[in-house]
Amino acid sequence: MKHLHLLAMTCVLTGAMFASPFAAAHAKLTGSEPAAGATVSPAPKALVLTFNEKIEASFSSVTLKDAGGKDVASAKAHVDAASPAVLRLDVPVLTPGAYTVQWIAVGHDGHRRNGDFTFTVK
Amino acid sequence: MDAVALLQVGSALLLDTGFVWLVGSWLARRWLHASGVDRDGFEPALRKFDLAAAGLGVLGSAVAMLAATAAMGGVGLREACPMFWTMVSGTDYGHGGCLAMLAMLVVFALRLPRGTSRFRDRAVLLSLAIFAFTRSSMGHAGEDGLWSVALAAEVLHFSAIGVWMGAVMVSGWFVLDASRVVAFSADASGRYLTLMSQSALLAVIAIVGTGSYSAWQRVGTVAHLFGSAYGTILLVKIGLVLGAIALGGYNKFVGLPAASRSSRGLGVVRAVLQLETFLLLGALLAAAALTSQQPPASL
Repeated sequence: MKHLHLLAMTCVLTGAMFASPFAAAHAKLTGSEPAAGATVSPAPKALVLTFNEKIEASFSSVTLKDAGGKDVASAKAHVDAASPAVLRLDVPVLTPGAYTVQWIAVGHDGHRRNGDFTFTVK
Repeated sequence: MDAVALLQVGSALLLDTGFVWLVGSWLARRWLHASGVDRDGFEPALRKFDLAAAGLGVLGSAVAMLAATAAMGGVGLREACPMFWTMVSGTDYGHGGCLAMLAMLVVFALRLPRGTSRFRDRAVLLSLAIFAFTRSSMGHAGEDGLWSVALAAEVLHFSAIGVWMGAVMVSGWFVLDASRVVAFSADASGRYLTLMSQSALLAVIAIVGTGSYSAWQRVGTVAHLFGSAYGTILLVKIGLVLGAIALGGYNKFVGLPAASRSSRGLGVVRAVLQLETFLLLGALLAAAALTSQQPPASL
């Protein structure tokens, strides 16, 4: 009976344990400047995207498009020297209008995630 | 699942199976010695299997890195080739992959000369430890740096999987093979089985302990378990592991006492170990499928 109890406990704990990889986090945008959906003035000089984990610079990118879908920034996004979870993109002077930020982030574990958000310059 | 994801799953399975075999054969050598069985009779065949396992490990590492390059770049395998060097030299994942491959290469080189020595056995163990540490650090457990509790738990978890599955695989398919086990005295086979069973039990306890810790660390999303391909694979994996634990329990409490009484009992233990290997290989395949997939976007 004692053995059966041990076996049952092991089964339950293993069931709980094998749920762990399912809950593993992947690169996720936790915040940005400008924030998603924000209306800003004056226009930002750089986009700052903060993720929940360290980002691999070589395979990650940020692009900025205007309302017409045209690429606005010619520079490449780079990982912030002080914080490896932050991607920065220097942008030229932005005229008033709506903009879309598209990002690709490859995390420490090699997983690739992407997303986009918009903001408006007043 | 596309070609890149299939390759990621296949290479991870290859790599992990190679590691598991090498851990199992390392332990089997010790248990044979401790049981008073002459190792020389086993060594030539065991060496060949070790070389094949280490070779699979090296090949698996290289293919896994190419597949990872394609996944990171969001491109096909052909387009990934020119990016390969950037991945290997410029990312943490690439550095880890290279070190893991090197560790397997060292094991291959150490097992290449015939015969054994204490130094070589220790060097193989060190290389396998480096492999386990590196492979564990390539996932999220390595996020908090090389000296975090999360990474220590992951290393222990991965190593314990090697001990459990390695003990089952090498014993069931190699050591207890009918043609080999005839060389055992009754005492020797009993002692070998006891050592194997005790180690496997300790490994399962370590797996449950470290796994529960990881689950507790990352808890909160089990609600996503149902209704997705990802959740289904996970449930299949849990089922396979529970099946393997049940078979291990049968062997421990019913099979081993029977094996000490008759050679037929030993045959049943062997058959159960072989079946357990299939279940654990299935679990390893499911684990590889889970790590190569994106979890649901809401995570």
